Amino acid sequence: MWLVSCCISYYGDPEAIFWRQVFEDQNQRAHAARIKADDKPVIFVGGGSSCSFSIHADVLTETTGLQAVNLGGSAGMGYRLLIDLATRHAKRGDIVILHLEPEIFQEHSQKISPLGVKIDLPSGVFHNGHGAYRGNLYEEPIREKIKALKPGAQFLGVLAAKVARRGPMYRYQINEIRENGSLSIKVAEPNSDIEPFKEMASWAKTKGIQAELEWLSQYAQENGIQIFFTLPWESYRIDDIDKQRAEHARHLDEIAKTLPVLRDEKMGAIGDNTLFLDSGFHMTTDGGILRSRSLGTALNLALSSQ
Amino acid sequence: MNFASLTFWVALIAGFLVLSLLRLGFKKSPLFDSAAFLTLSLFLLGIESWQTVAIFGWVSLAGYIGLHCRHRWQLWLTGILILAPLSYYKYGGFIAEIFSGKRELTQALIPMGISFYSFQILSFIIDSYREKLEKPKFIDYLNYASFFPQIVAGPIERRKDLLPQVKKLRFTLQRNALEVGIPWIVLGLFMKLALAENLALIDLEMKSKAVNAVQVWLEAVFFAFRIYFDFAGYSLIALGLAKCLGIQLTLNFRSPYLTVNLQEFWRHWHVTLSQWFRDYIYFPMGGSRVKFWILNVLIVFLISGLWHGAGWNFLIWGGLHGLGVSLCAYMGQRKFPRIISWVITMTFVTFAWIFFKEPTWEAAWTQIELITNPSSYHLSPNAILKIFSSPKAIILMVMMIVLILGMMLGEFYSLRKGEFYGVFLNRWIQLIMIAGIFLLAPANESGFIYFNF
Repeated sequence: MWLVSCCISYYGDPEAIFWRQVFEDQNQRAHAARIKADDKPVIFVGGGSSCSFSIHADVLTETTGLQAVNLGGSAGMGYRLLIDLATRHAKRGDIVILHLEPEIFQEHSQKISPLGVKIDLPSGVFHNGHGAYRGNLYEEPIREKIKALKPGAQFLGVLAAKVARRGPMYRYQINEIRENGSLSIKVAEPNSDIEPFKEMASWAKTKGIQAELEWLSQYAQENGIQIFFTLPWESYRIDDIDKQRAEHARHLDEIAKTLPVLRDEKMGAIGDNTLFLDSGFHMTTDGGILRSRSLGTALNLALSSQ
Repeated sequence: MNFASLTFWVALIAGFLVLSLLRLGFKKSPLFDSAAFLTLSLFLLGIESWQTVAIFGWVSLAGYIGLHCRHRWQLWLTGILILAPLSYYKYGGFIAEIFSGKRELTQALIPMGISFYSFQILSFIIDSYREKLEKPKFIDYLNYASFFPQIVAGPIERRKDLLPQVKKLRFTLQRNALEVGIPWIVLGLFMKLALAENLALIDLEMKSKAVNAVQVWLEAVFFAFRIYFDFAGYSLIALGLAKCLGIQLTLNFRSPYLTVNLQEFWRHWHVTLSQWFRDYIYFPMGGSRVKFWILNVLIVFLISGLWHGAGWNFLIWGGLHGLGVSLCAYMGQRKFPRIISWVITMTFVTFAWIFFKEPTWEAAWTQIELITNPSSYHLSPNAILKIFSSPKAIILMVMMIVLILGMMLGEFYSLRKGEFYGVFLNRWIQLIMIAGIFLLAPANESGFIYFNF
């Protein structure tokens, strides 16, 4: 019965199925980028869904002259898996950009993510990551990770409702991933999800997050990889933009004490809501191009100043 | 000792196996059996923390010394020693808050089960003193005080019921006993994991600050069922575990949400605690034979409120129930149709839970203000949808409503057959519940609510 429930959870979760397909696709792109790059460094950009929507690898390549791969996932996977996925393909000399939503640094995201375990099974459960978190992806006993595979009433109810509705099982489809690795969808209505002002300067100050950042810094040094941290672009109320940018700057200052950060003039806060799709984190094609170009420029600046 | 965690079951099975192997070398002596049970109980308690065992040691030793009391003042002194850790850990912060306005000064984590075993030991020495009963063997007394199925959250058993049984405890498992006990464990786990845990999730999925009075009622109704399934679930697992060992514990919950007045409710909800307050506080004060019996009822319920938690909100909760029970007793035989009585009783119980579930009385008062303001009721489908953070939560809510109705129906039929929860012991229903435990229990588990008491 236990095994059946785990199988239902693993094989029946449309979100996990989608992201597993995405990662297979990304693995191929990473492999292809490595071949194309010859001996030059490759840029790997990882993060939550803001990364999946906003990062256009071709624009980044065009701006920096380096091969780039979008390794974006979903914030629900937990930041540890997202960072691990972003660093899995990186070799000596490569560049990894962590395009992470600040929210996932909040404490709740540090716990095991059921979605993360399902996506990365069996690695997530038994091997503890392949990239930066090789050996300690969740620092939890195996039974805790297996427990994360429990389906639960909510999951089964939603699954039953989706089957009954006979519509698409997940809101995104694999054919919505473009050649450049970004996700693009059609939306019926413009985005109405405008983020309220967020105080976040303290989020990166917690002991747990400081330890994580130090771990990453050490990992980067030991493996000869350059790891940069940056903030995604999010939709905010125009009145809050200046205040939010200042808050983002403080957040980045805190991270910059341990890891190099990439800043741009927007500082992650955008007042033009038309650049977003179904959420205040998911950018349109135009928005993604702007974001990718801006990121590439910030990276060029950071690399040239070294 | 969280019955819903895998750690508990692994530790229980491992401890039982190791001690059973050792037993072979001791030629199955009764003394070894008693010692083995004590070891197992303390080991399972010690998994939580060594402080828990140390505090339990203090309370149980004080209790044993109390068995030598010859005078009433000695009994009182022992009572103070028994209740000292409970007072410090549970009420220190509250008392400091009253005098200094700062609670965190003496805020300490309440040791698991302290309210339960302190009361059980207290009842033991009171009964022994009152009835001049002989002192039991120290090991039998310790097994009575530490019997692992019920040490952390009851039922609070009496000397006459539990001691004769623990004296005869044998460290073996009989097939017949397992066949009787396991179905109760399954029912308890189903209540806890499939129902209470998901009801806790619904609460998380509702907006943190209610603006619609409907949300306050929904939260209160779901909390009412959550705390019931949580605590009754625990008690049924305890009952089942004890049955597996050949021990009969008191059925602590007896379908309380099917009762039709508050007096009846308290005879069906946390039965052993109600009986404890009746026998050791209400009766000694004169019970219902004195002129101001209503005052006695109120005092008992105020103490009951404080037993549940150190805070004004718990005091108000207890006071409300005290008033309600007094009113029911005063009205006596005047009867409404059953269904109306049931609706009134459940509305009152649900309303009172608002004070219980909120962390402070101020928070509870905000909720009361909302539900007493007619303009705060927004009943349109859109307004109801806005209560929840996502449509997923509504699907979960619908599922839970169906399951709760199913459970209540099962309890109703069991009651008609004259056997509490009897329907759920049916083999086919047991299979469905086992499937439910695996399929419906959410990944994230919370502890038992009553562990906090």
